Amino acid sequence: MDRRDFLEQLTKGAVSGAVACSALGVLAWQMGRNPAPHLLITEPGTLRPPGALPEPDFLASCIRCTACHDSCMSRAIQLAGPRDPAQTGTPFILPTETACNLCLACTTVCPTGALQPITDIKTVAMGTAVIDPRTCVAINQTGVCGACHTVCPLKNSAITLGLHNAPVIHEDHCVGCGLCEEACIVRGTKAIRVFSDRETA
Amino acid sequence: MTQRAQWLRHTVQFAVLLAIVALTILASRGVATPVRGNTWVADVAGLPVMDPLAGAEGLVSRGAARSRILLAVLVPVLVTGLLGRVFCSWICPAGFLFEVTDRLRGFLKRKGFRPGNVKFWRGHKYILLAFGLVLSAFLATPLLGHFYPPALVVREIHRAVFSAGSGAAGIVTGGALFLLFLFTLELVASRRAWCRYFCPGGALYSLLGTRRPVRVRLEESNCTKCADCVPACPMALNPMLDRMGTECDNCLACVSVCPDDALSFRKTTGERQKGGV
Repeated sequence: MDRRDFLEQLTKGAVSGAVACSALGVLAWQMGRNPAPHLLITEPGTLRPPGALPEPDFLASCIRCTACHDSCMSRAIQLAGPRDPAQTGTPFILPTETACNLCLACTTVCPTGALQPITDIKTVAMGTAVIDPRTCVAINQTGVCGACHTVCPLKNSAITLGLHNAPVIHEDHCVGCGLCEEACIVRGTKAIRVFSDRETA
Repeated sequence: MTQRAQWLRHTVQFAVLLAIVALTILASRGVATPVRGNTWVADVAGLPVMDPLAGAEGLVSRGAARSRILLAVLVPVLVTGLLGRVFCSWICPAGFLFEVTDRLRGFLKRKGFRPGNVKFWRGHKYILLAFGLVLSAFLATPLLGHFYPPALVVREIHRAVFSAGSGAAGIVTGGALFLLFLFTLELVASRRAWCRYFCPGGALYSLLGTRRPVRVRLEESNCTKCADCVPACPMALNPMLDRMGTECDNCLACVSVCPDDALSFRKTTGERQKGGV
């Protein structure tokens, strides 16, 4: 092997290595906060759109096509980028920012059935709302509110108001749309938060 | 044949890219269009159409709606089975951008810059396809889309359109960096470096089109062995000799440069023939 051949081989090796390393690097980065062992974990407070299959089946079915995001009328569905709390390219909802208004358009456009068609909002199961009695102004009696009850699409079944407008969640009826969380007047971490009760691993 | 075929091809490529951008913008404005989506996954008046790689990933990761995926890949698979790897040179938005980079490469060459011509083993792409599908099956999540330039291009277009004006617009994604790396590779290392040697989607299209009945054919009695077609081929094939068949992406560059009417894109006659790709 002469010098020229050697240099050529070296260049090829270097480029092959660079391709392999960049591919692995991109994989690692795309996984972002969800490296392979925790591939199926999305962060608490992050919801999948209505009709989503259980998390492992959802990740196997979703081909990151953006159709649900594009159909979302309330602009609640976000697509995970490298810094977001869900696997890259998958749709997620942060009800603290914008909650799902249960139009259910996304469930009809999914090409792979990762989001199953839903027609009755009562059968949605995105999560369940949980109230923090320490920060809820109606419960800790630092103010008068009831915003969560006002916006709830299933008011008087999912949320009822008690003494001093103190909200009470009825888990059997709460579908986890997150409108209450979006509407909650408490600054910072909301007093009512929706957590996905779907299987995550 | 003249350069007409090439202009037709570039028009189709440009129209596809323009359509993707336009459809994404319309979707961001909430306008309902009969055709939605992009080259990765589209919805044509209710009929789903999917890149076969998206379908393959969906199938091996054992997701829901297997029959819907099979329906969605039906048309692409049939077209590829008939005409071969036409997606790559006629539709693929990344392929179009690679060709634009290739023009820049030619321009720099005329200015005295000497771009490399690094050759790799073509089998890399089949290994990457197999490895990616096995890993997708093993992790039960589709992975190859993260390494598939057309999927990355449409994703970046989507990101750009939907995050325009918001804080998320400035985030540099891994996909964008990977695309940048591939364009650099095209510029300095080799023409269609990714498509020739590494593209898992190209590998799948190649496999689907192996037994295509319509392909580039050589009429040996017309051929004067001028070899103009050899440097013309962006996939580094030799239309005068090769019968490998799987690699040709039907860009018709060889047909367009042939001065002797020896090469044409037509139905095979059945007998084994020398030449053509």
